[in-house]
Amino acid sequence: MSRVAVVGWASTAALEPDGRNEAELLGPVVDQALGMAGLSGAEVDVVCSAGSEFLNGVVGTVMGAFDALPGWPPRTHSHLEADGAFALYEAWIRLMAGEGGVALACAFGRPSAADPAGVLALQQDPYLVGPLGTGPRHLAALQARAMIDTGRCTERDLAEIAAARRGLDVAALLAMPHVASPLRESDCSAVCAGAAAVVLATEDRVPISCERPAWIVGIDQRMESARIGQRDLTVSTSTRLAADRLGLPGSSIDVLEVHAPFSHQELLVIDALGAGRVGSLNPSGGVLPADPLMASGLVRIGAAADALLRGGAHRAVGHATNGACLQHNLLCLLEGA
Amino acid sequence: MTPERCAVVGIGQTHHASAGRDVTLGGLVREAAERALLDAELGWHEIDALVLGKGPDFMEGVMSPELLLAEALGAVGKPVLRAYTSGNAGGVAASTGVALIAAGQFSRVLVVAFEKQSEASGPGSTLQRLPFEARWQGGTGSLFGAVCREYIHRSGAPPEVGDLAALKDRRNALLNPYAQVRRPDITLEEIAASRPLWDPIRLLHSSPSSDGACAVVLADEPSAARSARPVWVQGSAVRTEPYLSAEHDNVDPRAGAECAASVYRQAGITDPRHELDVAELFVPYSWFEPMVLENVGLADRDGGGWRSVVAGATAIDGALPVNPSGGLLGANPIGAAGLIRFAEAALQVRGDAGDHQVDGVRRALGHAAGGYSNCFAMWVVGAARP
Amino acid sequence: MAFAYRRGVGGAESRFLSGLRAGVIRGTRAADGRVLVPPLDHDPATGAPLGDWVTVADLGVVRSWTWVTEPGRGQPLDRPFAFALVRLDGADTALLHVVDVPDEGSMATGMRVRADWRLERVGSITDIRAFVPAGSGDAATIPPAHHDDAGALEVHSAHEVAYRYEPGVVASRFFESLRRRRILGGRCEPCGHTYVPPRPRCPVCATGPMTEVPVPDRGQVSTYTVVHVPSPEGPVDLPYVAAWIRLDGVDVAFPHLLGEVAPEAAAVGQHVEAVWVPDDELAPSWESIRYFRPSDRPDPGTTRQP
Repeated sequence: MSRVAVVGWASTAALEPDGRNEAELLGPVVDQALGMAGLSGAEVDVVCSAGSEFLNGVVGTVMGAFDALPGWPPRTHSHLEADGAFALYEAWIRLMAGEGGVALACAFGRPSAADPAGVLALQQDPYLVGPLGTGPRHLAALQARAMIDTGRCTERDLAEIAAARRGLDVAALLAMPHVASPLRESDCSAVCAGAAAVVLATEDRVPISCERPAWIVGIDQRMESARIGQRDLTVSTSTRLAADRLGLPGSSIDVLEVHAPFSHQELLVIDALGAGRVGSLNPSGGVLPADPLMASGLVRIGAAADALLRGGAHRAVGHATNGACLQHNLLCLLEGA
Repeated sequence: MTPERCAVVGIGQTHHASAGRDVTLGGLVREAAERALLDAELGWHEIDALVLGKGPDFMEGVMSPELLLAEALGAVGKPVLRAYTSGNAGGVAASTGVALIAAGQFSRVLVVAFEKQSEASGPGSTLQRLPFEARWQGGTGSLFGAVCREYIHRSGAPPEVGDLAALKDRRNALLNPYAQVRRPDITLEEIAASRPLWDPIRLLHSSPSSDGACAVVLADEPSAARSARPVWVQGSAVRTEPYLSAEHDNVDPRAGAECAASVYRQAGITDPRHELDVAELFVPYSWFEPMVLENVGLADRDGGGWRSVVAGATAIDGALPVNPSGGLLGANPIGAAGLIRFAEAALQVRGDAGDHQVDGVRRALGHAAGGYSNCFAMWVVGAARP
Repeated sequence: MAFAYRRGVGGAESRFLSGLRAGVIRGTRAADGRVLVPPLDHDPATGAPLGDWVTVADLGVVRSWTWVTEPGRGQPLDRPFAFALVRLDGADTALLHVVDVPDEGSMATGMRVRADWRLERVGSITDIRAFVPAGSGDAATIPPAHHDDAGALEVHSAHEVAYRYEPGVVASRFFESLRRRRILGGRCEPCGHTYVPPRPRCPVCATGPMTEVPVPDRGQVSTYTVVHVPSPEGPVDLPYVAAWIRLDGVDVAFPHLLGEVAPEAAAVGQHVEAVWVPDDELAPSWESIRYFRPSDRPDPGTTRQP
């Protein structure tokens, strides 16, 4: 099988609505990613896009994004209702399956819903959980409390993570009220609109201009039960499984980007990876300050690749998640030449 | 870089119905999946990865249903991919499954596609109106009617073409135990007189709304060796083009033509009309049959499609049978419909299509379409290992 | 937008919910011996069907909880409460539900709670109104199994989600122009094609922005359909003609209404002109044009075969 590398990426997060639609958010990001890669839209063989109709409130929301994607002449294109990290996984698979030499994985999210959390609640079991109106923050809070009860962390530990990611003062954060105890507003990501794009190329299609392609050593993703009462919420089993498959436990990682929409989840993912050493954790700032839903996981992979593309790092891991309490996790292991 | 060969070793589907009242989403999916595993003689633990194909999440009101379905899919501890895109979701799901095998990552992949669309009321279906759009603009039926009108204008097709194609599919559905709509006493006159919806489309030209699921088990070559009758995937492709484009032709979209050209090329087919023995095509309204025939190169582009229909060439005993299963007019659970076409094509190759089996099938085409005539997925399956 | 779903129930969910209707909580025993509440049809590890049903107690231990200070729509209580994972006596997994206590200080991991059942039960997770603190006198009892009628159960979901839609920067300018009885087109200079509405980037060559050009409000019907099916907010009079209009000089068609023409008289290629609404009805919307009607004379030089 041919090696595949990340050769370019870009992202944007719009914390305030600014009137731009999906294509207007995604278009410049695609241009930037291709520009960084030194490739044109015409050279893209495979496009894997991702988004969420429920969040955007429009059936067929991908149709609106077509203007931003290399679309003519026709080529392989598939669309997922999920985070863009899974679109990248599919793009990687399609390149290795021989469907082309260059792929574009992209994601866009424009939560038009006044209450994105209310929409995310629709991920829950409609038979047994839906009637209770439980939202993602409540479920995450149950997980956070379980970690505190077992002594894995304290509320101060969470505030320190939030402070580090958001550039704020720990004491000030601890003085804020809970939004879903033991979580505070600062422990929860700031959901916003945004877009991301990552360009992949097989070995024979990496442009000369790309001096340091970020080679994908492997991607593994695993799912757990949606029934949180059935799981041990203090361990991210699926992340551990994926980490084992990639040979990560005990290894050295230069850059780790974790998709943790809640502060305590950063600890869970790091524990599950079991890395011997992590050089730099979430140099991008992670997801707490800005969480472009459906693009955040893809941004983590792009940010992890960034360190290799610019030089200065040799081994990076990007993590992405979907579902409440880290139900479904993906790890992408990247290395320089 | 040689892609791994991929074979279909298990096929299953539910008895598609207007409403599956006594089953949850998980129950619906499980039924199809279990049938496919039984057919493949494999246990749940032998499946390495899952692909779930489904239409708009609005239809069931559950966002990312693969999360909810972890146990029903046997997916706990396994990788899962969701396939959507649009109405071709079921076909895209198969294509993703084939890629997972071809990439050499997994040995056995379970692909499941479903829709349980009976439970929604409110704007739970395709194309709702956005506040800045006109009030009469909603509804895909209107768009499809206009596309059929354009085909008639270009090709000179006589009005009975839609009736004839519908009659054929509905008679074929009687031979398919999984079809939802089975009208033993259906006549051409009844179809021609049925209620007009979006001219030229009439009620009996149209597919029903269905709840249903379909599953296939895909395997790499070593795993396929354990199967008595593997059906080989000889070509697989997905193509999309922008629909609001000066280049887009609703009647004969280039994406559809190129998707077909790609699977024929992969399968080593140079004369599809003679080298394919049967085709399962995505025909949500009977007027689409002649259009699709021309678009995928199974009929000449100047009206050869409707002339084939009138001549009976696409009948179950015709020169190139189309939709011996009854097609979408028999059942249309939106997210599953594409995979059902692919699965029916494989059933034909295996000789397992029962009463709707076409004699001597060595190679079959499965076709799925979606969006506004702009998203396509196809595969060619055959008895011969590529 | 309001979404409503009437969900059929079968299998383990059905048995569990009918149990709640009868006032008992049931689980299934997994392959490893654990009692799963809520129950599953199939073992999560082996996939084997599970048929060993166990009735568990309706009291147990809080394994985790969170406080809801401001109850929202769709939640079972209208005063502050806790969501909790409750491991019932006899079960090995925890059930997600609510605990009704006066304040956050009354909650603690490890506290014992019991189900407070509704008198009228329908086969819903809310047949248990809430869990409440179990008094020291409450002993764990496993009620006898009931043979109840698992009659057809339904779970109803109703969601209301407020969406704020935006057509986008370029499209917004287009709709604004309609309000002024002007139709804005966008020309892609590299391709030479003109689009109505204009697009932020050309779908063919992906360049943008397009050059804004005014386009005439007359053109031709590229295709049409006669609609006999009422759409929820559509025009009252059926049948009506929905036509795809290609304005003179424009390379794509858009859908609109055909008026002042009998459905049988509609035709591909027909020349049409816009009929605008009066001033007081103008809006940034396609509805600023009431419909298109046949026009008598085509402009010389712009007629094109569709």
